[in-house]
Amino acid sequence: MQKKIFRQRLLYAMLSAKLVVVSWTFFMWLTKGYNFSQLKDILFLVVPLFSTNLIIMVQYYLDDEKIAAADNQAIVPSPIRIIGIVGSLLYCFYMVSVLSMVPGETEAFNDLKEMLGWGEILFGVYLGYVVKAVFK
Amino acid sequence: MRAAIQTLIILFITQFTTQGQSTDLFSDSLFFYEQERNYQSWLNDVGLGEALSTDGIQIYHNKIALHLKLQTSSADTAYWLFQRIVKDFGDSSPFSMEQTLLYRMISIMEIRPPEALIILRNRTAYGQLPSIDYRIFYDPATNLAVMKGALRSIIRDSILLPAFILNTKINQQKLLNTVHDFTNSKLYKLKQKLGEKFVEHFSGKTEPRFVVKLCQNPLICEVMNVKGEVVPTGYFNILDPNERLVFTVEVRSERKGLHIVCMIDGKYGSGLFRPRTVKAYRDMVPEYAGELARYSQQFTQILLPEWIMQIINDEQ
Repeated sequence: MQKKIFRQRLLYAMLSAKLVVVSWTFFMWLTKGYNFSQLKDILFLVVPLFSTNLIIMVQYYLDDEKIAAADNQAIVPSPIRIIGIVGSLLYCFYMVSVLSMVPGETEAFNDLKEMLGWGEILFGVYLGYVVKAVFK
Repeated sequence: MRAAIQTLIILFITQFTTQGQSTDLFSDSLFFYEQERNYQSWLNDVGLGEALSTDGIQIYHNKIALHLKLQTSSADTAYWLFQRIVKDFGDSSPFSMEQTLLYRMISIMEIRPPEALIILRNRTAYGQLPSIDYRIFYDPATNLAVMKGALRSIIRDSILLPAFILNTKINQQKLLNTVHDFTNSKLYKLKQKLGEKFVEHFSGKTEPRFVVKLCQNPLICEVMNVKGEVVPTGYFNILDPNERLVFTVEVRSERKGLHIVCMIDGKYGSGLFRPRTVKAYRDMVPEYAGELARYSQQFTQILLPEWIMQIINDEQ
């Protein structure tokens, strides 16, 4: 896969994965699975790392010089492709299942936050490396 | 001779120690009453004087009960005040609120830990049950101060008075006579019928689960997974939370008529996933306090007396 296409697909995959997770969180809040302070805690875990990745991606598309200088024809190796696209899907699947596990159980909420944190570290950081490498 | 002197000395010393270990606290009553004022000034010093005040002490031969009152009679405000104090203590002090209150009492009153008891309630009108009712005492098993009690959400009284009976166009004298005749076995039967009414009333709703406990007094009826009873419903059924309502009904036969006290505890959980455990339900009080109050008023003023009347009519 060419770098240009991979960049676009990675952006869409990450955006949609995050959108699903955030909307699922809001939906759980609407159906009273979580109260407002729990919603805030979850969003505080889920959003920041993604926004740093998004900044890198948006910066790339705003910078004409970068786009002109970019090596679009280069082929992206398959492990990176898998980490980028499948990683986003796995992240989405993992986060949604964790969020659906014990809605409302206050005592279990700390464990749940921990599991969400693990998800963010595992997927967010690796995806961050891929983003940094592809969007430079 | 020497042995005799030694024995005398030992006896002399033990005399003091046995006096020091006297467990009868009545003898020092005056001291304790005075220390109650000191406890209040300590509360003022640490900034709790606005929320809490001492409300007398009770002295027993091996225990001192110190009454503390939350300075509000409104159930909602009391709830918030109580939560705030507990949280403030958790944030600012290594000890929890109950530990601080109890240990301070022990040191001010100069008593041993098992002798101390704090009863924490909110101010109430005469005859009304306090919505906050906690006991703080020393637990010898864990060596810690323990707080046990209840946060009652909403409490409403309803009394069947002749005025109400007149409205229902039933022979007043006849009914009053039956009410007077209510013996324990009749009351038990009435509660049994009342339990059936609960099941009948809620069985039309979305697959509720019932737990009806018929004990001597009160009758406890727990309804789980009902929707739209207290919390207003929206357009989508899935968005409405699953509610768990616990009705505690106490029926007493008095001279005026049947005295019915009903307490409703409301909790709610996720509407999307039916809560698997009881813990997954949250208290309705801060968020839906108004709705719960309205529901409770409607239930105890209209529905419950109606059921009782129906049961009495069926019996006759």
